[in-house]
Amino acid sequence: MIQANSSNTILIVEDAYLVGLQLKDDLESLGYTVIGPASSVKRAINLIDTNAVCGAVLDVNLGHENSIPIANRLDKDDVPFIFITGYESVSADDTIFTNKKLLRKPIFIDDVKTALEDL
Amino acid sequence: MKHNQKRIKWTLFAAVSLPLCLLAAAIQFFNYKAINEQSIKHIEAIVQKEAVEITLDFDMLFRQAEQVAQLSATTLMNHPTMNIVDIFELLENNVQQKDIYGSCVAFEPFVFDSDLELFAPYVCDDESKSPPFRFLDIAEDAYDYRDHEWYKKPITLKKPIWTKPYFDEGAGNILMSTYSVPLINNKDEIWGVVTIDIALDEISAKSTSSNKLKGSSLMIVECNGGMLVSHPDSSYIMHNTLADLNSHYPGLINESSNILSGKAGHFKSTKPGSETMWIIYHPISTANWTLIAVIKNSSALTPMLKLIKSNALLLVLALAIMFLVVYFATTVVMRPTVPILAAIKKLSSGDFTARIHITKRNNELSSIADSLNTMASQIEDEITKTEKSLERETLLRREIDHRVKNMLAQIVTLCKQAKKSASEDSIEGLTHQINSLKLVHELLSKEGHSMLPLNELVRQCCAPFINNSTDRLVIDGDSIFLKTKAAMCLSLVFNELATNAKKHGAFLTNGGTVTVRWSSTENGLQIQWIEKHSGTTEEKKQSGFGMQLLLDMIPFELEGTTNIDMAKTGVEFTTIIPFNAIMEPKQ
Repeated sequence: MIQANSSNTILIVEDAYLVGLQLKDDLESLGYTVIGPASSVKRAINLIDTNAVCGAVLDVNLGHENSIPIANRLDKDDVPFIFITGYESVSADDTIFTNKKLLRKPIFIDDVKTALEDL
Repeated sequence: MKHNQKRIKWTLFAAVSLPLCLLAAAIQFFNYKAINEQSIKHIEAIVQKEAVEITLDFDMLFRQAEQVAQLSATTLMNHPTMNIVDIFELLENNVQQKDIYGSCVAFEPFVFDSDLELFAPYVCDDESKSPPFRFLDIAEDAYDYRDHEWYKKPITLKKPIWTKPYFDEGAGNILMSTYSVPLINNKDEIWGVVTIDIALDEISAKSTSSNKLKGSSLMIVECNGGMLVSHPDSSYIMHNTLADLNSHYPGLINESSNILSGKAGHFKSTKPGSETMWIIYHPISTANWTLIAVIKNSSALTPMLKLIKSNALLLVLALAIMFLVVYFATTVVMRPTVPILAAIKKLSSGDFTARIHITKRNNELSSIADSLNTMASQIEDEITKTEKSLERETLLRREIDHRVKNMLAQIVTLCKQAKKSASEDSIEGLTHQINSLKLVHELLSKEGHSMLPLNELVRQCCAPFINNSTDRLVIDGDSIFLKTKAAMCLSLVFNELATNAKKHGAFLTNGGTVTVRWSSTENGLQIQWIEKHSGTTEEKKQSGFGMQLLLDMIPFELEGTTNIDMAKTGVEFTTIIPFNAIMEPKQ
């Protein structure tokens, strides 16, 4: 249950600049505090290290890498998050996806909001 | 498959074996026939030999009898004064000769003695007497010999004759034949006859007892009338004719003309309900008789049966060996088909990795195997090709799907940003932005690969702003193919630069030019956008979303650096992008 208010900081991990930019705008206009978007695992981990994060929206595919290491780190920190992906499917081998909300692109801010509130 | 293979094998086996069996049966049949004929010929030969022997015996007997009779006649004619004692002595002498049963001198009436009408002194064998002879006058008891053939015929013909065989009831009741010589003096006066009797019983008994044909019976028939002269059952002798035996040996009557005409031959006689008999006949020419041998079919074949049996055994053995050879041959012929059939079965079930391994030989089967192997490997290649192409198609489809979705997401952002500023310019800007994204999509579709030439991207991004004139834009750089993500990012960046140049810079005035050049640096590919135009155009530093995009998008998405410099001669934009983020690796 992550309500939209400024004390709730949301991390955005998204390698598409415009998509990340828009998501940030949208979440901020809903009232969330947003850090990111981060386009790589390294940058995202860096942001988690230096900020208190309440929740996260993770794009699964980050070009030449994926966001599973970030998810693992968030799980370790007990920070809830949702996945977004442009692909039809994600690898079933990764147990990280079980019991996680997965939104498909193109995403709509209402869906993101509902998903965040359900966390 | 296995079943079929076996069927061919057995068909081959049957196709070779059946004619062989038929051939063997035919050989055996003709063999049997030939042997059958041969056995009959064999019997015929024996019968002939027998007949010849009997004939010789008869000849000897007859010649002897004739000589004795002639000698007696000559003696009597030369000594007309012989008395009774002399005559009996002469006759006794005659009878002492071997095989001569009796001898007689029969006189014409009153010739021997003017007081005696009929006189015929006779001497014959009689074992009960000592010496073993009987002396009698057959004219006693009023026996008129003149009516008898043995007397009448030589007198009439005036030459010696042999009588037909007959039973002499008066003189011992035996079968005999008589040689009669007429007694004729110099004046051609007939005195009577002198006779020699020979017993036929002995000779026929001898002939039948020395029978060399096992399982046969011999009989002798007299040719003038067909009377049986010799028969195993003595009650038939001189009582029955050949015709009477027809009930025992059907067909005998039909053959009787041949038998009685002194020919040699044989025929088969089948009496219903009993075994087939062979009847072989051969003439005994001297006596004008015919020797007949009757032999059972089985007895006739006995000597040859062993031969037939051994022949059959040999044939069966040969057939068995043939069968083995044929079986072995068919097995050997069909064996190479086993791996072929196994491979075909695999192929038909869709396993195209199956291959046939026939190591040796260079024949039809091995070429079939080779062709099948070639076919299988070609099909396998085709399948691999198709699979690869399908894989590529799938990848491409996913790639396009992803790209389109990304593009839509980007367009959503662009639209929202345009709405924020909500000016005429921003709507037109949005159109150009969407157009530049479309450009990347078009280039990608045209190439059919995810490869985009950088020079083409630059040219097309600028084209709408310079009405396609080529002298306003200078492109200087090696041929470089962009990654899709880099191309989309750069298309928006170049669109932003060109839009700005059209509004405020080099594309606004006719004299202005833009040079886009790229070159490799140690941090990556450095791309520069350099505007040159004369007029002191009002340089308006861009702000807001456009500038933000220009400076931030490349660092964000491609890990590159950006820098914009408002020089006197115009805007100079420089970006350095790591090679791995911008360029397709060389293939």
